[in-house]
Amino acid sequence: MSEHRFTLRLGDQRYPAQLAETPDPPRILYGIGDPSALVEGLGVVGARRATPYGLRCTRLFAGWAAAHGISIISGAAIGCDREAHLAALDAGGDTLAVLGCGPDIDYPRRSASLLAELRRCHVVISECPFGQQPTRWSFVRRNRIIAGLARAVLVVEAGLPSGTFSTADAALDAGRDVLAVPGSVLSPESRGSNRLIRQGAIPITDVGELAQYLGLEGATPAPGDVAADDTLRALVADPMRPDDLARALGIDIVHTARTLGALEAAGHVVRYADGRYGVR
Amino acid sequence: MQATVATTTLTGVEAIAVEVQADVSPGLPVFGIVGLADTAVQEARDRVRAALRSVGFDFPNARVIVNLAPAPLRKHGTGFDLPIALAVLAATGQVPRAALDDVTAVGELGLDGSVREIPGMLAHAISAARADRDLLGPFSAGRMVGVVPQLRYRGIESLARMKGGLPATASPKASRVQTPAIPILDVADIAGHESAKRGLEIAAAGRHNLLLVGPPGSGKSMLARALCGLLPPLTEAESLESALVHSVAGLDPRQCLDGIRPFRAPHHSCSVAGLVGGGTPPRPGEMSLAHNGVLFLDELPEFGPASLQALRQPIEEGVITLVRAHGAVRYPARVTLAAAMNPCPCGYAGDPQRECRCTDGAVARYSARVGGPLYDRMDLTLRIDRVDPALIIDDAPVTPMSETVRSRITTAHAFAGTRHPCSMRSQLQPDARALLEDAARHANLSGRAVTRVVRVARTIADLEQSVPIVVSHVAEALGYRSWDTA
Amino acid sequence: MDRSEVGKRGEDAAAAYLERQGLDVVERNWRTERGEIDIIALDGEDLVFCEVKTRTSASRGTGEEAVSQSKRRKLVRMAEIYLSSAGIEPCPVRFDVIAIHVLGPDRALLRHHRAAFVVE
Repeated sequence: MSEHRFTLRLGDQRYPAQLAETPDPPRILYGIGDPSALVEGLGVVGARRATPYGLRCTRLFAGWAAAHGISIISGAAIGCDREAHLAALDAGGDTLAVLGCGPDIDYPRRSASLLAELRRCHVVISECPFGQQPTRWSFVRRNRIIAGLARAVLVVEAGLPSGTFSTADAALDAGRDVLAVPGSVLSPESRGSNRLIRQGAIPITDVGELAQYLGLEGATPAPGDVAADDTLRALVADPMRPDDLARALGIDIVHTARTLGALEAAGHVVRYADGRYGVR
Repeated sequence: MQATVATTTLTGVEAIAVEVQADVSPGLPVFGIVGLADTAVQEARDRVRAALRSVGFDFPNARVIVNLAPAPLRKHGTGFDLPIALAVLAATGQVPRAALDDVTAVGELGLDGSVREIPGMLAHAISAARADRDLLGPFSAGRMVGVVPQLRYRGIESLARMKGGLPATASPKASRVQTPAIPILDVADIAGHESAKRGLEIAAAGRHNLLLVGPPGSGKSMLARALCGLLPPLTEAESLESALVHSVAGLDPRQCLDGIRPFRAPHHSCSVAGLVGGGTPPRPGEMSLAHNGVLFLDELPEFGPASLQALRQPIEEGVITLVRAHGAVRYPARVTLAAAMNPCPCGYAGDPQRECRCTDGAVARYSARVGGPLYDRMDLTLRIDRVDPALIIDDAPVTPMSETVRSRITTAHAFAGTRHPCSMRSQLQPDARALLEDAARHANLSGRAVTRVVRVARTIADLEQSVPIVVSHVAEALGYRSWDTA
Repeated sequence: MDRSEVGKRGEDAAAAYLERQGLDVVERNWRTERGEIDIIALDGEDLVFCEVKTRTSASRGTGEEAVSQSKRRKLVRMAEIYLSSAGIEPCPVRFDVIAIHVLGPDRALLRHHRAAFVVE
């Protein structure tokens, strides 16, 4: 099975119009996949070392938007980027990746299978020619392409200092709106996104607000997946360690552990790498 | 003029019978020791000569040849001093030869004629008891060797004591402390860490190896110590085994004799020989010193690859075999392994208070140092996190008292020994199996991870004295699986 | 008094001392091509090979210190030769050292080391 490679020059008919309007559009775009998938979408960016909270927000908003026909644009990096692409794929929506290296390069390595899927069924683009390895500089440059292709950029989680900021800056340069998901005032991983909100980014606190911003109808404010079970209700609010959960619910640890195990086996909750459990 | 005195020498934890033959004949004054003796044994000549003279015996002015038989066995250590001195005394008629016929002698001599303890007194005592011979040795070892059943021990403080013939046999009363030993650390004293404490209970009941993962200062070493406290006291047979290893290593075996389970925590800079044993003559390593107890390896990935590799076989077999040119030496090493590691090189991944600054590659390399085969041997993985200080101050007594936990563990262990030993999978109830299959699908469990979950579930069932493994057992066991195979 | 004279007088003094102690001196300056044994004496059953070391000052160390490892080996070898010569019954053998420290024209300190060393 051969990949479909293409190059688009600035001025070509298929060159994305919204990108061409930006102050500094790339003169040539190299891509693999379906060039017609280069439609206006929602940029979703966030920290590479994302917290479970960041990943869940990414999945919630990117997944919802993709399910409602909005293409999700991101950078295929680990953490939030990856989760955004995966959420879009899981929702059966469209998604495209903009790389800081040649579109045929699997970088980061851990995203190789994701990139393969995107090249086959969607599209992966870059302003770097085929075969070019990534440089530090190229990632800052590619952020302006993400911003340029998108109608708005949603920052799900960003610490300080953060590369995510350059995407936000690029979005403002390109005249795009910056949306940000607020986080805990205590969490260092949310300091950047909270600062964006203070600087004027549009806060997105639930799916309804995103729907309203995107002009979409029919969104209920909260996802209707809250189970009657106390454990699930507690975990929807905040992922917790078994100890904290047992204390919060006032049940003994053995019972808590067994409930979590049963919920996990049933696919309702997942265990994070830091030992916390969260709603899937 | 010839005389023979029996003694024993250590090979591993066994004391092998050796005959000390002395021949005193006229001629040039020579004091020679033959029979594959190492430097320490050769030096016995000077100690024996000085000791005999200083307590008023004569050292013969003649040709004295001492042969240690069997000749092919390599002899080392200072325990030959006393039997060599006795053989010389018997050969020169200063001590009646017949008096030594039923005696096995071991002990080091001081220049003043004092008789001192040597490593492995317990091994010598066991060997003498088994051969139904009296053991003549240092007086100070009398209380310790008293634990060996059927041993007749004759202790002497000094070689001068031999002037009055053999000392009487003492049958010292067993020195084992009958009250249960106080655990090193009581789980009841640990605030918070509820799920970790439950994990320890399961590990103790099933003698599972476990891995504690958490940031620095979260209490991993404390919990490992508590695990040692949760295990029931050593049985009489176990305490003798463990004491034997300590004795052979030249360490104080009294704690083991009192029934306290050994807890060894070697630093990660420990050499391979230090960890599993080695050297010439071969000495037991930390792993054998932890026999019947807990071996705690903090900062597991920091141990050298050779050390980690060397751990695998003894963990599986409960015994360490050191092969030497003169034969193999075996040391027991049945341990419960408690390993601890940080979640990443800096230690703060997943910590709510501090940010982790490690790259993903660094985290992966850190974790990969341990290697899959070793991870596979650890049935439980417990995530340990710092406990909120407020909780430490006013911890509600949620933990059952450690005595209750300990009796549950003892009961579970006994139950596991009596239940029908059919395969674990056949004890798995259909709905429990279904739950496990669902979990394997959702959490992407490997085959080995599933096996470990079943093992842990089996122990959880044992804690409830239930032969079938039901849904709740499997559900709980899922929470103790490791992260790397998830 | 030159060195050899001092040595000679020391050996005389040592032999006289041993006689006083009840030993029978059987040989004085027993010589082979490899060297000599200063005194050979009988102490009851024991055959005693005796090396005499005389010192006029401690500046070159005490007499005892002069009996080095190689000197001992030499003595042992010569003793073996003596013992293997005809007419000697097997008997207990001893190596003694007599150290004499000359203090003045007619005063000296004598130290007798019985069984000073054995064959290594």
